[in-house]
Amino acid sequence: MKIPRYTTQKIAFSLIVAAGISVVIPLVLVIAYIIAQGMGALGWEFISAMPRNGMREGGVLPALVGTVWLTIGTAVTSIPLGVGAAVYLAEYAPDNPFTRTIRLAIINLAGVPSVVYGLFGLGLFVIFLRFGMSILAGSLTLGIMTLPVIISTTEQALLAVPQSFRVVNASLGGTAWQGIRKVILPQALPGIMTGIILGLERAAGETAPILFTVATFFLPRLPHSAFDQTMALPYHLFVISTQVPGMPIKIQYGTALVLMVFVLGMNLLATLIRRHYRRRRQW
Amino acid sequence: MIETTTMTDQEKFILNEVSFYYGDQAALKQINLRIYGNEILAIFGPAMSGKSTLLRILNRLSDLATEGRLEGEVLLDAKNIHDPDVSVTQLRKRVGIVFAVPVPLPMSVWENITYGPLLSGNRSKGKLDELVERTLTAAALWEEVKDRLHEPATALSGGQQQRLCLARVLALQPEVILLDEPCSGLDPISTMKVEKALIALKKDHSIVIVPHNVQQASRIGDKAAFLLMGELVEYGVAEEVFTRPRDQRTDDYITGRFG
Repeated sequence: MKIPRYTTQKIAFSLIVAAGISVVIPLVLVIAYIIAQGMGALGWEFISAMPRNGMREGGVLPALVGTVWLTIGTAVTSIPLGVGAAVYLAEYAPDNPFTRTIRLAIINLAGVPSVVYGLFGLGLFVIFLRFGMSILAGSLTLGIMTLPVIISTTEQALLAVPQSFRVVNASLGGTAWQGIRKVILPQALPGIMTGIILGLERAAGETAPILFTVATFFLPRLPHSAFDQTMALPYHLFVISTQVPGMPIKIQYGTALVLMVFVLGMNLLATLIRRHYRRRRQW
Repeated sequence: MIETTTMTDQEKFILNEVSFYYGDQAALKQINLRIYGNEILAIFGPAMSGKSTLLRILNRLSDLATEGRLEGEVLLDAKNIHDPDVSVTQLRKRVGIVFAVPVPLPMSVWENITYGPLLSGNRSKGKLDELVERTLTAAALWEEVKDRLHEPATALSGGQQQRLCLARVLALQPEVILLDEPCSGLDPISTMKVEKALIALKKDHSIVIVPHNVQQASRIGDKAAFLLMGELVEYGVAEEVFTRPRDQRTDDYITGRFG
């Protein structure tokens, strides 16, 4: 029997729509559940106070501040290196064994499990370079983990800029670098921003890389320098969910909610920045 | 075979036995050609005959071609443009090019025109304003865009974009202007404007144009060169090439028997 092609189109279309919807469902459920469970804990005190009574009361301020510092540290270490490497690969690098090695390294870096980055950071930064457990060591570890994301998205964004702009720049007597600075990078900026934020978001939410390099179980004071240890939201969440008996559920979910709002807030910020650049350029 | 001895002041470019290869594929075969100042040379021929490659060799944009290889020598004012002491960015300012498809940079009209001059150092805004007006006027575009100088160049029509690209090249104050089918996407009125602008520019520049058809070549060319499969078949005063071609292949092409 032959099914009419209009019917097969209908079936295919329904399946595709179902696939689309089912992507949204888990996200909505996760967010709704965390909000429902954690909303009760939220308040000014929760994000502005130190934890008390074995972390069963009070707030998450030191963990929140720690995560903010780690995110900034990650940005400082990974953005210049990552964008620089991507510009080299997209604009300058010839295709030869050396650059193929670089590309292979980037692909493999992306595949390394985060806990391995944590052990690597412990060995190199904490012990060998004597940074100790510190924001510096944690930021560097997270930065290396973030590099492949930033490099590959930045390279894609650069390659998406039409080749003809490079030719026009050369034909008007511009050096390759002048073309990159004045035309290519501004054009690729929204795409680069997206890659950076995606990478930093992932870094902000990671637990394993900071486990051995910076995060502490309980430290009810704010860090003073890059060489201080600190609490951090993902690890704090792990601790209060598994290591502290008698922990109120709403504190756990409240902490999860703060972490989620922080990460989604970065996402929102990226969208706003992107839209700002699009509007300013008008094309 | 260097012929610098017979060189006159009038000669801008001399090509001696120039061949160009993309990989193993020869795009140009042993071209010998002289390009003179203050006139328009029209290079015509069927598709894939090497016209665009020839233009790009003159300002070394051909350097950008991967797997590209040049033989022979190209002299500009008796100086080999491939000599190690020649600055390629400087060369490209002296020899500007307008492409078949206009590519405005993603900036305003004003920024497009000042892009080249600003690359080689800062100039006062007043001077740049004056340059913008002068070049847009020369490209027959000033009246149409004088109130839109700070709007995106991509908002202009195709014909306006092509004249903008011409103005952008003029802003480099080049000695030679190369044009690769600058009117291929244009309507007859825009084409006429560009042609008029080119004839006026002859006064101060050498112009090498790949016209989009034989009619345009005969309308504006002082000299004409016929390329076929990478070979320079005929070269001479345009009127003679188009009325009394010496080579049968040229005759066949311009009378429409092939191509």
